[in-house]
Amino acid sequence: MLERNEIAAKSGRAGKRQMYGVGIVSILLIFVVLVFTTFSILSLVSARADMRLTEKNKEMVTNYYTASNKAVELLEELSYLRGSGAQIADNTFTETAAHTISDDGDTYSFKIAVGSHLQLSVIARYTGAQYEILQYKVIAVNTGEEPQSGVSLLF
Amino acid sequence: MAKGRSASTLFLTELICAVLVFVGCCAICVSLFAGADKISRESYELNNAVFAAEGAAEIYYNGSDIETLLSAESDPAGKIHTVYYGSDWQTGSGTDYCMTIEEKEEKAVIKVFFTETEREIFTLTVQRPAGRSAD
Repeated sequence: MLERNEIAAKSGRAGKRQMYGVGIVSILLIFVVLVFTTFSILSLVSARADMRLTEKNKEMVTNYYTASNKAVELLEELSYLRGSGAQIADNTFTETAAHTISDDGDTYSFKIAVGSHLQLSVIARYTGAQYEILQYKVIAVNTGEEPQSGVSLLF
Repeated sequence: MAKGRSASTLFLTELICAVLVFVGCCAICVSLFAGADKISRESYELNNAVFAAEGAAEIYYNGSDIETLLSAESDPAGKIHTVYYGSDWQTGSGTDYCMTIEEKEEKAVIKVFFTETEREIFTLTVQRPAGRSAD
């Protein structure tokens, strides 16, 4: 028995037994589980962030085309009213869309909300039979709030 | 001898417990990975569907020829145009996804859906000013 232990010690087996003792499996398991969990949670968070971005893009596109459709309807209505000789006032279209119309001779401008932060700004000029579009662009809503500075956030 | 046996029993017990915990953890992690993959695929499909519909909407709005520009198949009346997309969202590479553009006077309803299940991915309605028809 003693001889065997001596032989084992000489060949290094005794040293190996000490190295892979009870507990090393648990340590390895904790490490592997932590790595797996971290990567799986990261992939899920990343996928959800992607989805949120895609949903925002979808919402933006839908809102833009909803506003664009309203603008087209409004221009058609303006064209019809002008053709029939009716008077167009600032409050003529307040029920059909959230907008303002400023009458400057034959030029009309109105803004239609695209979501909560943007507006579709349209400027059109009546040229007799139809409208010539002078501006058709998305602009940011001017909320009138002053931008917050980093200092005010600290104090 | 008895000490050595109890140590190996303890080691074996720990190993079995570790394997069991590992299997449980793997099952949870695989379900998380699968969930992430599903969300990622849905996001990819929705993103491409929105891009496809947006492109078609702009073509319609400008009064350009949908059949030529989108390589679409049109019905005899020329009011319903159909475009097929493959899994890579390229036209002509398969029929995994389908987009229909249904013209109604000066309005078009653009629908993007799965060809097999007909499950809708995205729908967009676009109106163009009168007199911009491609005809």
